[in-house]
Amino acid sequence: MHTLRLRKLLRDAGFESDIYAVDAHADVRSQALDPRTFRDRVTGSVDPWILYHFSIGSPLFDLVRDLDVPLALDYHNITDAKYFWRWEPRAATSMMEGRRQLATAAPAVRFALADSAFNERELIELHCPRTAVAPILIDFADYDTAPDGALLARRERARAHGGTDWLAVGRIAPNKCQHDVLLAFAVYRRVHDPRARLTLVGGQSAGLYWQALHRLAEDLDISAAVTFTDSVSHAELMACYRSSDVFILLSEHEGFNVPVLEAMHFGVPVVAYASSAVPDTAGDGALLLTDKDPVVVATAVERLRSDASLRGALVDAGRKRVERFSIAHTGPQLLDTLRTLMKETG
Amino acid sequence: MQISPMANDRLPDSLPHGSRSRDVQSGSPPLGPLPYESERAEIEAAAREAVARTDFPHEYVDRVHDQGERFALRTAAPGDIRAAIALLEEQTNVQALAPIDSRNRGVGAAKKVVRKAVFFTSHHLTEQMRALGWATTSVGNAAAERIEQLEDRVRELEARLERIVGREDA
Repeated sequence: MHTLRLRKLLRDAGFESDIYAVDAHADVRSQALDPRTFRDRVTGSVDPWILYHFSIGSPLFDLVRDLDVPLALDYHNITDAKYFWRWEPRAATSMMEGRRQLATAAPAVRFALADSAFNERELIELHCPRTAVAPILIDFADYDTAPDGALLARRERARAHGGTDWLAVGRIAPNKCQHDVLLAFAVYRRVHDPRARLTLVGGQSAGLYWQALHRLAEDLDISAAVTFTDSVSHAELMACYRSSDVFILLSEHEGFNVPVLEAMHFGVPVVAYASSAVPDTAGDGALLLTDKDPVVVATAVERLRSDASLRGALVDAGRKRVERFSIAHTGPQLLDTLRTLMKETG
Repeated sequence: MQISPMANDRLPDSLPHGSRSRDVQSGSPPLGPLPYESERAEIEAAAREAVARTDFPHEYVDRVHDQGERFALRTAAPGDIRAAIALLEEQTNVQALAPIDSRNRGVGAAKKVVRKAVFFTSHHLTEQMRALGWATTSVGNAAAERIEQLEDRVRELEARLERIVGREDA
């Protein structure tokens, strides 16, 4: 979505802009052009640039690097391969390749945009000549659509029987540490609220990890209270946000994290582990923890449930955070940043 | 390091300035100040108090911690051949049963049928992969054993050499 929004932003500002992609998701495949046609398409264009969206190793990067066109990066971070070796070695290999490509690319590009200060720091460490932070473009109006009525009704029926609803949103991936969420939830149910429920929204990116999480839920006797939704539709996601009491994120590696802001948009208080870019995105809109021992996390959730004043402060701060990251603010900023950097480095 | 202040000054104020110097590493919390410090301290204290209570379910929470250990990030330090073998050994536990979860009930049922239909093949393959894995770890263990013996021998010889050189110097 970020790339589509960026293209719209650029086109609205009078630029010619197209997206070139390999392996585009089926939903947006029609929006992308074949990268091999780039050279022919830009012939005759005035002052062409490439803004390469960097998030994993890809043969496309080698193709792009060899084109005689000024190159800039939009860096979305690459997950540290160490999280994936055990569960999905093929993905880990792509991540390693991505790091190798980034190390070559960063010093050679004209400039690079980074979603967060955390991402920017990596670019600076790799001697990227010019960097700027430009957050992911999010249009929160997209979230003011109707939720899935059937799912919302089902969840509301469950809520009528009491119990705190925990929500975690994001790919089910080892770096996102959904196992820590399960551990904390298990303690929470045993110590504070035996009727609590947990919904883990997100498709799987490592089959073995996915299986291990299911086994963990069974071993801790919480599988009846945990729902793994796998990938969901936008309307289903809206239903989940609208029927949750707390949003939980215990990830160890994030380049930005959009769901934290989504939760804030829906007024769901956020408890998060203060790793990587999470503090940059969440700011004072989340209760950030520096220790994710299951007992500490469970206590934090209970504190939020029982302390209306803290909950209110977090929700208020979260709404301001959402405002700050809305496309109405970040769009013009990103455009100004791009214009400035292109002018200075072109 | 060159950063266009003009560009950065227009960005959300919490983003580039306050956090750039923060020592943020993946997997570890930042060292800089975070909001809600007093609440965080209270929560940590409350957690400690809860654990100290007589009615705290120690047995279950110990079980939770033990289960958490299964997910601990294990990486072998460069040169740590034994740790590398342990990781390899862990990977030899190949699963013959593929996950069949699906949001769509029909797809889930179809996956189940396919899994059942091909189980005799997948089981046969995974058994061989496990055997190959165990054989590989045996080779690794044997090599590690031999390397450790050689290292011990080298250390012995170095000590002997030092003694001989010491006697000659005297």
